[in-house]
Amino acid sequence: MTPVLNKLETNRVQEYLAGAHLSPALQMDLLDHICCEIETQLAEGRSFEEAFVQTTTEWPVERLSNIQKDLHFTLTTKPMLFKFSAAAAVLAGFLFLSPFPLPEPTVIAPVIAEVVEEPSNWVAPLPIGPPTASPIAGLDMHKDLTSGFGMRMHPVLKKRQLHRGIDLKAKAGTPVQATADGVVLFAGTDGLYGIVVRIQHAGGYVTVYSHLSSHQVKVGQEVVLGQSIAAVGSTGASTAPHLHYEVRKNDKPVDPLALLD
Amino acid sequence: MYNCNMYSKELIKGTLRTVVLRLLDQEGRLYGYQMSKLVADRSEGNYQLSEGSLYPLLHKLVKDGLLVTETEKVNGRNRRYYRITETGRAAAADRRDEFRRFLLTMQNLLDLKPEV
Repeated sequence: MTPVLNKLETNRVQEYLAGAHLSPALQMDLLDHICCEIETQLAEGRSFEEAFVQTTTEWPVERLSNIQKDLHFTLTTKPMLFKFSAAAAVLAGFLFLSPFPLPEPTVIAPVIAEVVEEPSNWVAPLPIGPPTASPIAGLDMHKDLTSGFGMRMHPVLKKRQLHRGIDLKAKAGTPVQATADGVVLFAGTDGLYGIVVRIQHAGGYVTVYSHLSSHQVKVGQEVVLGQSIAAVGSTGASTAPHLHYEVRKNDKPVDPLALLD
Repeated sequence: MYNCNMYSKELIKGTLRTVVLRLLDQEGRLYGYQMSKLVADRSEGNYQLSEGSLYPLLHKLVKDGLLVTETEKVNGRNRRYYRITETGRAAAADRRDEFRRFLLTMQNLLDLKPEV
């Protein structure tokens, strides 16, 4: 029997893939593919962490993005190029085989320009900005900050380690909102995070809201900016009610406050 | 693991569609990882298809109506199976036949004697 990744492990892979701007179809293909690769390694006796690192090293985000580009090229650009060369051939044939004298070059120019202009249905991915809204409506992330991003002594674990997000002062039960449009990757209990919601956004961003007292969203649910998703609490490795908020870009934690400038 | 019998990218690129269609013609339906595994096993690791060309090809074949997809929940995640259509089966047979003729032509062109 091959080992099977559990929900949390599958979510890890999905969050990693979120960084590559994949179409939903390709994302589904690659999620299964990479999970299968990890499971094969688990069967060989590796731990999930080892297998995850090994597999994601073999599948850097650029490689994933390149597959998406290849796919776009195969499905959209290539057929269009064929269409153009066919159109150009017909046009050339018409111009050169026509019994009438060739029009002056000045007349040809606008015709050619028109043909070249046609590939307007090429959709270049828009530059997508990071989530910059406050996870608590009306709260100033600078003013109500109780612990910033970066290396610090962990208040519960008593170890110096990277604080992967920011802590915001808030009373238990305060509503927590999505800081950008997205899809819920995870909503439930996850170790030190306690009750946590993770949302995948465009542009490879994932936001994390943790130590919650409850959540109101389900995995796979689409949420919009400002939508109430949970309530502040003190679950997991927490000493008092507050919101621990993280932003990840391509699976790497970034300082949410640095995104504001 | 490096395998010195691996074939060049150009050869793989020129034959991947034939191989994938044939596999699906035999098996009916497969998912991506399964295809990589099958090809690797049957070629004893010599024919290394890259996912970078496999998935764009599969999506193209779906778009052209040679394959259809079926999504199923397996091990808690969605798995997309690719199933060959009747048009796909016809294309698979044509491609395989063409390749057979190509092999014979190459045998003559390159003056290859069958290995004993």
